[in-house]
Amino acid sequence: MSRHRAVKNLNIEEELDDGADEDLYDELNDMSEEDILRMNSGVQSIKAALGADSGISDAKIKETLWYYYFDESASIAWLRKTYKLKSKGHLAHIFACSPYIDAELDEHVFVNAHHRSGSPPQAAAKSTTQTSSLSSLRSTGGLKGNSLSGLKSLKSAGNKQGLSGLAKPPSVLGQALSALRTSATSAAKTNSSTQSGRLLSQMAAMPAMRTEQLHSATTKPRLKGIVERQVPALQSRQLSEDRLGESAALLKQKAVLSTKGLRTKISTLYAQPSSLANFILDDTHTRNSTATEEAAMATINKLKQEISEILEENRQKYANSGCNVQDGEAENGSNVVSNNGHGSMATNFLSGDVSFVSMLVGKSSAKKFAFDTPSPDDRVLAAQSTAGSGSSTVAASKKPSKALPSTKKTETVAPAKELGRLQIDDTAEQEALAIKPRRRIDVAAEYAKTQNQRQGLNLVVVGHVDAGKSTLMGHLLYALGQVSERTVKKFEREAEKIGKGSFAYAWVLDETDEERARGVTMDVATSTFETAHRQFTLLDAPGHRDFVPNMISGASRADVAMLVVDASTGEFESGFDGDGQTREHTQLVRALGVRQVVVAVNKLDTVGWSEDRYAEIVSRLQGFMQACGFSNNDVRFVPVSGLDGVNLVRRVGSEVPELAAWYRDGSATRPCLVELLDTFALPERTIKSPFRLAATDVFRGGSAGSAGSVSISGRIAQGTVQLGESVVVVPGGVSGIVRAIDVNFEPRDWAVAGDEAIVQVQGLDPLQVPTGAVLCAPEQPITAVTRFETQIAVFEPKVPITNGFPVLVHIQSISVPGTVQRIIETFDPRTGESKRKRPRHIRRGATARVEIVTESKLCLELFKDAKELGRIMLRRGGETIAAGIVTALHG
Amino acid sequence: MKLLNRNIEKDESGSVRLIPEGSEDIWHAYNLIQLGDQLTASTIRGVKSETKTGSVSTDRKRVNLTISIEDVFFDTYACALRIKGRNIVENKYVAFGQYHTLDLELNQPFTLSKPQWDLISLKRIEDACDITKQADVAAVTMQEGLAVICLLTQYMTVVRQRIEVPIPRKRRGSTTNYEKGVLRFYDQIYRAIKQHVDFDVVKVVILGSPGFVREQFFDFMMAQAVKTEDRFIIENKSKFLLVHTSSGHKGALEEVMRDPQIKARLADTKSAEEARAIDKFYQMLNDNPDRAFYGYEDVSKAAEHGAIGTLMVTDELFRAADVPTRKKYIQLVEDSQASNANVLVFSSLHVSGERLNQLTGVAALLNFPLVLESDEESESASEN
Repeated sequence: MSRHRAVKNLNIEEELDDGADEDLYDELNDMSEEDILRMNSGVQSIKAALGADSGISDAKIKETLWYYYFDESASIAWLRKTYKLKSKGHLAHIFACSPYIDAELDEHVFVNAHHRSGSPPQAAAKSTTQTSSLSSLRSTGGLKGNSLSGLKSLKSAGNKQGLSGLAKPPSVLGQALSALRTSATSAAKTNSSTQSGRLLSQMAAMPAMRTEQLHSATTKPRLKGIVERQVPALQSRQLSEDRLGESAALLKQKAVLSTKGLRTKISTLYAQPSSLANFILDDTHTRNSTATEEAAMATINKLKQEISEILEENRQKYANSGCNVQDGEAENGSNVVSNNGHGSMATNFLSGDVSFVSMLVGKSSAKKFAFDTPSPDDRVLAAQSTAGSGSSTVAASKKPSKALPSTKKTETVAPAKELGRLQIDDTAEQEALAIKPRRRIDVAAEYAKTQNQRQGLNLVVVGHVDAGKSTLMGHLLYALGQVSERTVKKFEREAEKIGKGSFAYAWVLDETDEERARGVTMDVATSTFETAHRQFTLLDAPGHRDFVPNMISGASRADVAMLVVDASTGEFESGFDGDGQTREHTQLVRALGVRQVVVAVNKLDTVGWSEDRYAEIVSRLQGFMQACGFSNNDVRFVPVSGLDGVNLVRRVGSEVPELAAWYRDGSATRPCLVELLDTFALPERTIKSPFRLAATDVFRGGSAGSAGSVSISGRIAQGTVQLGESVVVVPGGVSGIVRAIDVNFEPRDWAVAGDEAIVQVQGLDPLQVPTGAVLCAPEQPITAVTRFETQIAVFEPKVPITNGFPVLVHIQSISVPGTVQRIIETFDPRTGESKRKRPRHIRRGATARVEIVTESKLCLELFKDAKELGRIMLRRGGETIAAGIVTALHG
Repeated sequence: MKLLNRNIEKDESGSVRLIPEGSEDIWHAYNLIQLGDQLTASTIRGVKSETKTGSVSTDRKRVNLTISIEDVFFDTYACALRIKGRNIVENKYVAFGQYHTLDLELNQPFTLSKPQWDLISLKRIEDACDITKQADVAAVTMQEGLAVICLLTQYMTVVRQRIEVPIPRKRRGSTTNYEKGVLRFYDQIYRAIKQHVDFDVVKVVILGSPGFVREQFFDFMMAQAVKTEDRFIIENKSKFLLVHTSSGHKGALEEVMRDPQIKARLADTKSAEEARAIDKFYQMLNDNPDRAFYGYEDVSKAAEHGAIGTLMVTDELFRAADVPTRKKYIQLVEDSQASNANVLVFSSLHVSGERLNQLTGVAALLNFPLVLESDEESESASEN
């Protein structure tokens, strides 16, 4: 058929008729499997974030999510704004007004029209809803949800600090602002006023959010989390306070330019922060009465003190300044006062040099945060860190406020000079930091903010070979909707083809051809799933004895463990007695610092769900695990069938009467596997320590393109990492810049200790990063040594350990040949008393101090400083002979 | 052995200059040197000088001597070669025709002249200088991402190549990176084997690994050989032996030696014997610690009591630079032998020898249990 005819047959109207709306729906319908999964999880987490009673329909959330392409924070921010704003009419009005004013301003003041061509404020002024304003902002900038590039362009505009500080919490805002930035630098003014509008609306949303948080948190352990969450909230409050000061200045200018009625509205808004603070205070009062945890109480008190101090300060300043400020602004006078002067100053300039004023205003808004004063975040953090000593807290919180007016003063006196300095500072900073596309994120604060969401846990699944670990987890992932029906059906067909029909679920995790063909997991498979309160990173370890090194790699990345045992006759015994891996894995997992274990007694269906068999296994394991150092409360048992999916995500019912008959407490059936997983306690995260990530896997390229970069995956042992940060590789000492971070297969701006992350680093080659290397913060790199002292607990080696005993030293994901150079002493593990100096050999079950020399350098930390990087395993001839903790490093 | 110079005439007379580099080279030299040959080497000569007053002093001078060989003695334990002969090149200290006994020293060049270099001798030099050719076993220990290719001789284990290839791990949704990495890794081993293994000499190629690496590699190699019509690999397919080891590090060779399959194929080589002995020692240490001693002091005490059943010493101790240390150990060896002990000198180049080296270099299995004083002291101390 000729092409002409094809064109003829084309229904042109139909082609052209595809409106934008239809596009959206088409896209929603044509979503890939992966997208659907992300969509579902996104909807859930957004719902969780917004609270159940937000009254926003799923469809709306989905649409928003799709619009922002699964940028959850952006979606949440947008949803929050849209829906909260409706309840606060006057705020919405203000917001609607401010761009309008801007547009007016533009017409009056700025004669050069070049920046106005397609300028967002105009569009915003026309539309009254934020949606359209936002979207137009976005489209103007030509940015598609990529906040990073947005921020980069923002930087190019010169005054990144002020804006990105704002851009941080609602990332949409950041995008919008950066989009604006790119459109014209002279639009600085428009920017800041848009900011103010947004901020106001955000602030309005804030108390509502907080109520939700506080009400939902009733349980004791969460109390602390709440308080921590309040800190960033407080910070952002302060941030907004300062911002408001600026916007006030701007608005005053506008007032001069015959815009009316705004002031009163602003002042009502000004009252907001203080009422907000009171709100916190009040709430913490009630909390005090219920709280039993002392730490939490202390934090609350600290916060209270903090808040009242800040308020007091403001009041004082207001009194001192004695300027005439409108009544409503009384509470937060100080900022406004200083801004007031500044504003009128600017107004004076207006008559003379219009463009200069716009510059000044733009710069001043940028200035406030970058400069010599600590950021509000720092302020609160500083205060927090000095908790207990009241005087220093006062000093810390007072300092920045005092500094602010003085800055203003110099600025008004010699604005030109100030501007010059500012620019110099900026370039100097640029040089120093090479690539630093954004203001540093205060990751600790951000992390604290996310604490109300599902909390992450790394779960390693261990057990003897063929206990059914992969099948069980594969089935669990399927039951939780992480794997589609179709995929499983496909696996079933294919597995059937090679005569391994029962392995279909295992194929979800065993992805290499070799693993599938042999039906044996060879390397740790990483996946993720969610329960009601937990977000799990699943590490499915191999059970085969030859792959214990891989299992160690998996277990050293885990917080909690699931031990799978095969209940069928003879199989449990073969895994548990002798040198089965049930035994070895349990010891290893404990030695690697895992305290909580769920034991899944699998394949109980093969023995007719016999209660006796279950009880027998439980009692044998309980005894053994106690001997390994587990507390009985931390070890919980559950009977399951991985293949049939019994008791995984749903409590057992009538479908398996044999099990349901005895697996119950009184009338209620006992909890299923997922319920047990969901109640794992959360471990402490050492996010304050210097950043460390032990490389498990290194590969070229990554999610943010492949040119000249390396992706390094592994668990962040401690500290935090964020985009644009410089990291150094030890051993080797080469450094690079973090370009992308993925946690649980989703891109992030930052990651913290405990996250199983893939960090893409620019400027490295895979050969420079051997497995076992550690990514560190450049200020405090880890040490790499070949000689170190360790305290070991000897397991059950076939032969005793002597001086000069060759071993494989396992740490995290690597093993290095080494020798026990010197046995220093054996000692009593309980008292720590030396039993015998320089013994000739160490026998099974003993504890000893030894010196180990390795062939190549190992990245180690002292156990007392960093637990995860201070644990070693000694293996020889395929058996684990000892576990140790590092007590001294020798260069 | 290193060949420095080869100067052989058409009538097959001539000389070669060699540097022996290890104990095995001395063994090779012993096999090269025959009565009637001429040997030039650096040696130490006691020079007597008499003053006018009649007092005699003896100085030890290092001189370069050429002797016509009359007797050769090879010390199997110490792995030393002593060559006795008459001086044929006169110098300041040693007159023509004076007797001298040369000790062939490691890393000192010597020149050997023969009136006739026969084929056998020439082949010997070739073999001695080519480590590849003297190896009768090649071993490749592998684990994912790491392979060590060794050549095992009677006296030595020589690492020819260590291959480390970063293999990306399997990740959710994609195994291509992993599979590519594995193929790259196998390809490198394949090429290294072709480069380092001379199938005319090597009787067995051991492929050792944990898991399925060895099988996967073997399949890969055969497929590759068929594809590229690599006759050497295809013809020698039967020489490959697949053995389980616990890791891919060099230390895993010890496990290889323990494997009964290998023991049969290697027909009781030195390394297998050593591996067995050290296993026995550790087993004894476990079962009856009073019958397994290590460290010079403990062992020499056992020797004093005449308790030593098997003495294990590494040759490294005899290679010790300072004479007293060497003598000390030689004395120990002699004492033990006097009490009918079985003395094993481990080649420190073998894995088991290395292991013994780490274990102070000397260990002994006793015929009857002994309690050491140091033990008594510390035990009584801990009791107090």
